[in-house]
Amino acid sequence: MAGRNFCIGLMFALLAAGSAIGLEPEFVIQIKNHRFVPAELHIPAGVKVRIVVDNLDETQDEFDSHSLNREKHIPPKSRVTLFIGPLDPGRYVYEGESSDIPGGAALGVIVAE
Amino acid sequence: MRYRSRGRALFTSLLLGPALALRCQTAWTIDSSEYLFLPTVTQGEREIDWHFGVGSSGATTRQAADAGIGIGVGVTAHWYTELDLQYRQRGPSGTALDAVEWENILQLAEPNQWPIDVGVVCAIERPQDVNERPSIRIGPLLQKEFGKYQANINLLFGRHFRSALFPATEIKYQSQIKYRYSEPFEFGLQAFGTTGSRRQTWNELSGQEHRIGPVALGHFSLRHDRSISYNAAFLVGATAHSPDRSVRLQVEYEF
Repeated sequence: MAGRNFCIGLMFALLAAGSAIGLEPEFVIQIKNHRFVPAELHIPAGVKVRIVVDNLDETQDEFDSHSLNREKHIPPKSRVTLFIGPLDPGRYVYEGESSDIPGGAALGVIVAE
Repeated sequence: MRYRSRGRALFTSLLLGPALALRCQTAWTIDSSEYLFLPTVTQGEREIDWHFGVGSSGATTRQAADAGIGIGVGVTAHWYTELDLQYRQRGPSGTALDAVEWENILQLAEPNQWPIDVGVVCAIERPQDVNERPSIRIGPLLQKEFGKYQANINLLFGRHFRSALFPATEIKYQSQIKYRYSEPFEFGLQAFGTTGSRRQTWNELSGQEHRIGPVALGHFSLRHDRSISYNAAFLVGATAHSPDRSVRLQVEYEF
């Protein structure tokens, strides 16, 4: 019983902490014709940011990056939100979906500076 | 009928082949379902999940080998579901389908949206043994990134439905810390444990099961947006009630 109460308390604490969301700087990346726009996004280093990936295409796409530890599928004509950072200064590469796309997967880079 | 039996034997040997190969070197006991749950879901991703484990006998545990295969899908951005067939070998009695499990993971927020990533797992198991009742496991999945490090800890509460044989609530934990060195190779430590048994929720420390050891993980991208992920761990028992040594491997084909 004590273990169960501890877990319930922990869940509420986490949810309360989560109510502080929405304060992060927001950046938008669009997907047009299976290409990321902008292909290079500059964000502040050392700050947690919110990145909205807006898929304008009629097909599903993806935001996939090992260096950012994110993999997100984006349905057609929809957007997803990613929370990234605080990042050390550097370049963080990500890629899109490659199926049936001439030239292979789209590449993008987030530059933290 | 003969062909069905041969097919079943072949299927079983494929599942447990690696485990059987190790049997001559170690004795075993491990729960193959003991792989780490993650609180993140990828919508639309389908995966075939193969896992097995072998555990040596401990002071109070039997040697064992387990394997399983499941198929799952990210139904929405926040819900992953998987159906898992679990096979088990215990001593000389052979290998057989042990249970069917329906596993569900709920991702409560986007990774890094909250100070700690939180998910919930709910798994319902239907054992093949008519003497055992179905059971449920439910609990929070917690994850935190620290730069290139990632820590996970899960608490699982297990309960059999209307079972006089196993009346207690089981408390299990799963934990991992890993360094994300590169996509094909990450490494870290994993630990699994149980505070009691199906008859008693909390045992004294020597009666609890705790296993800890190194883990290697990786992800390989294939053509046509398919990929293979693996994680393999060598775990050492920390109490008399734990298997002295166990090896577990999980391979996932994502498509």
